[in-house]
Amino acid sequence: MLKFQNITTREKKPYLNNLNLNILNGRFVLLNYKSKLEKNKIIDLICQLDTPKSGNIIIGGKNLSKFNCRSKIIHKRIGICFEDFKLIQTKDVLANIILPLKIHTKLSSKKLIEAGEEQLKNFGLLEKKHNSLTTLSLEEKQRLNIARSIILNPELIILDNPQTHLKIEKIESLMKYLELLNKAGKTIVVFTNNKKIENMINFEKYILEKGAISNV
Amino acid sequence: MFKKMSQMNTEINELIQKNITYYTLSFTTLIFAFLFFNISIISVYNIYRNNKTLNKSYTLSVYMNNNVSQNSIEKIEKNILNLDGIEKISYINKELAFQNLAAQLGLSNRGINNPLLNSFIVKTKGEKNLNEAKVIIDEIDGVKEVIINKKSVTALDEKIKRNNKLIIGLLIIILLPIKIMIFNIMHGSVVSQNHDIEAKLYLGMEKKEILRPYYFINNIKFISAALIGSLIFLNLYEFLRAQITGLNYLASTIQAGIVVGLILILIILSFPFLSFNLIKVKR
Repeated sequence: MLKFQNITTREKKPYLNNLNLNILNGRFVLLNYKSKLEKNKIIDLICQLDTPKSGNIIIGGKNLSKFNCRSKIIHKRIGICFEDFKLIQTKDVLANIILPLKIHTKLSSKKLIEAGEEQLKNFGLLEKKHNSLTTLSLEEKQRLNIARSIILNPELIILDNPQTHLKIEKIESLMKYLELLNKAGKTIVVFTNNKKIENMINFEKYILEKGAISNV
Repeated sequence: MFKKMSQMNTEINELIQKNITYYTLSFTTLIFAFLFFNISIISVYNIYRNNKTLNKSYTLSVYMNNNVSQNSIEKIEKNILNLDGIEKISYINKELAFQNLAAQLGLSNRGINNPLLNSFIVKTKGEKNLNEAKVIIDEIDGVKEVIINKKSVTALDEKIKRNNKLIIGLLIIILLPIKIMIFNIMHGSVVSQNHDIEAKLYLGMEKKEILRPYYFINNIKFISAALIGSLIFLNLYEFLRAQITGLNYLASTIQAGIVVGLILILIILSFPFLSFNLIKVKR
């Protein structure tokens, strides 16, 4: 599902240096990291906001280096929950959650709203659908962030520190939910250094260190 | 197409509504920036016009011999007029000049011999033409003496040089900061939204698509501020010209309007292209 082949990035002292990673379809992977820069670089590469100096990135069998520009086809297959939320400040809760659908599908406004409301209901945010982001607590923002990452029903779900701002019981129920998604065939990658999460589920575990990935 | 337009319209509405204070303040600042921009443009234009007039004011006096007939005087006048760089020639009759002089001094001119000569006041374009004209006129039959008032020539030269320095100074001191101010405001409106722009990029939206509403708002804001600022300026200009005596030497409001209009059209036409380079997002 997600394959990094000999990836070296463009910096003078590359953040990622000859990195290899192969995550097969339907796996649930946990990635520990020593440096935020290295972790963010991987996310940038997956989002096609950066290109490597050398090596290949293959997502769902498609080699990113063969695309001249950012491919929406690939983006549609990935859902990312960002550590810093990356929510749109000028939009309300409902508009935020349906944004990936707006970008990657051609659903009518009515269907967009229906899908958005459904997802908000699942994450306990329906009553706040017309709220501005400034009225949400950090925990609610994180829930919205997670909800948005899976609204497209993507094959690959990447969660960057999904436990941030969540209480322990919420983290547990999130992990159970992710496990269900994984059982339904989704590939899930969690970037975290949180020990509690590590003990919750039986992950395939890797460590990102000194620009390379090693198996644990 | 209509769907895209309606989406963009919604985006623009959201952007403006959420940042209404920012947009109002930046729009007002832009109007003021254009007001000062126009003031400096018209100051430069008026100084330039003044320089042009001064440049045509290099003067020499041509004194005729006493025995020159009226016919010859007319021929001499025609000859001088045909020389290069002659802007204006005026004949001064010695009798008339004597009467004026006597009147100025409060004397009676009866019984006094007129010591003056018939003469021409010749105005040339630039100092070079003045010197060349002097050499040629000196050779004409019937001309007794050609005099250049060196003091007034030096004063004229200095005035023109001072004006040129003023034009350059105005362009550097006023226009450049105004330009930076205008462009910073335009740039700032995008930079202030960098968080949202970056978030949309991470979600897979095309950069062009993301920036389209910003370009649109910026262009509309820029063009309307330019028009409003210029109209306010032209009204003020007309008001000041009408109310303050002694400002008649300034270019007329219509002329000022044409200059401002032409420059605005150039800026407005070039801004949409400039704004693409101006608005640079991190990625």
